[in-house]
Amino acid sequence: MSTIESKNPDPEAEAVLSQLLHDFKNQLGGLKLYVAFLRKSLAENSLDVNEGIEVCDKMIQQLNLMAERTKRSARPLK
Amino acid sequence: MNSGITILIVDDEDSYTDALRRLFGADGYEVKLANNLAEGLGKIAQQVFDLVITDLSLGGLDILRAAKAKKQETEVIIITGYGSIAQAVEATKAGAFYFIEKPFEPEQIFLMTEKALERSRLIAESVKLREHFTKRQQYYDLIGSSKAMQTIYETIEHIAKTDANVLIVGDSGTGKELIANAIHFNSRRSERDFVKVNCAALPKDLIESELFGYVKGSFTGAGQDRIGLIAQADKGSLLLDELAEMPIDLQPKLLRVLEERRFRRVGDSQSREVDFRLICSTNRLPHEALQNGLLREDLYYRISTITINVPPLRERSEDLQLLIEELFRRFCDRYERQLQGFSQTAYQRLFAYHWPGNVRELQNIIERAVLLSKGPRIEAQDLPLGISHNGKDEDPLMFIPANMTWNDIERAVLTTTLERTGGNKKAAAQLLGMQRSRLYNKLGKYKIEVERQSLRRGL
Repeated sequence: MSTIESKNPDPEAEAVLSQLLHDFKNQLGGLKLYVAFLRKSLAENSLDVNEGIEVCDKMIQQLNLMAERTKRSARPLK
Repeated sequence: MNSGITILIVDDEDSYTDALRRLFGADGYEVKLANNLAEGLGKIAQQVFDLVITDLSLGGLDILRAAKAKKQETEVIIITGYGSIAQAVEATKAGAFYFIEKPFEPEQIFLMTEKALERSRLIAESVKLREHFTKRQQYYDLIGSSKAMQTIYETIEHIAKTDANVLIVGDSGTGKELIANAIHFNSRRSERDFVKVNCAALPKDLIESELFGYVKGSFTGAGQDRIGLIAQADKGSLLLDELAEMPIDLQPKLLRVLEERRFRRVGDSQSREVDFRLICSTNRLPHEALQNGLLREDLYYRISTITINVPPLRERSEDLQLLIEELFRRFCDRYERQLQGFSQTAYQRLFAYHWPGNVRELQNIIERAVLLSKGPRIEAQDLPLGISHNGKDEDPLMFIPANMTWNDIERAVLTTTLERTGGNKKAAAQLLGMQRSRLYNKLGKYKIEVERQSLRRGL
């Protein structure tokens, strides 16, 4: 039995965790793109206030989605 | 900035598509989004994109194929999810520019986009150059890739859009009228009339009334008003072919029209405004026509703002191969003949002839041969007598000095033949009756460097 297996003996939980982590990273990728957009627009002084607010809303929705997915995947530990 | 560059993003994750749309949009790109395969394919069917960024799991390979089928130069970046590297490699083999694994850093996608668009631009440019090169072998109806013809094509392009008067000088049958056509149809007047007048064909006493028109009763036989050819050319172009044959006493009247942009019909007291572009052509050398009193000096200077000299066919023998092949193809198509080409002897005869009637003569001879040929190929006997027999048109026998070796002779024959074919090795091999591979061996043996026709042809 390997060290990893001994640390986490539940393969199902491991798969869920792995998927969750991947989803997290994906959502984070989207957030990074939004941040890149804000950074660029601010640096170029071209950001429209309404669009800025819209992007912030989108980012919040994104974080919300991440939280929802985490919640759905969570279950009581044995 | 990047206006006119179109990007399609196919992905079902809104955060990615929305953020990329904003980012690329801020840089001036025109961005379209699709959330699934069907939508993506629909967008590709409607529009050509410079770059497509697509998620592999949404049928990225189909998107890739559709985009490439629509326009080969479109670049495709594949976005892959976790664990789909093998498929992404497959996509790259199928023509994807690159693949990026999610999640990616913004800089990665910007860099890839920049590189992909740069490649797309370079490919599009090379396609354009290729088309340009192909066009240069045939420009409108003109055929020829020699340096002389390239210069003519360039001149036409430079001057066509202007209203400068053009004088085309060249022997009969060299294609002066085709050059005039190319100028008119390449000009901003191309939608309007192109009136052509052969000054040599019109009776001297009629030419004035034909050109300027007349009013009823102005002379015997003028039963009604008539619009002249100059008025017909209004807003268009006027070609005065064989200008040196125009009566000398009529030339000041033409000059006045060119200077004042107004003309008066025969028997009319009113002058009328006219706006046309004048193209003149002559098969006489202008300085001789001036010396012989056929052309007025003041008119000559007015009409020769741009002079195009068309070389006789014998001075552009490197175009002969191209002309023979193109005319042969055209006539085979026109008369629905399935001929394989020319026999070696027929070919040699065509190359040996000096073509006093220029391209028109070549055209007539090939048309006749295509029509009359009985076998699968055009033979020497299918050509007219002057060409088909070893006569005065044939090159004289080669003079071989006593100290010349066999190698010297062979080298001289190869060099002369290649000069004759403008560096075209295929034609040279055909003329010499040898396989192309053997010709290459000989060229290597004698270290003969051939100036490639493609370089001569230029762009």
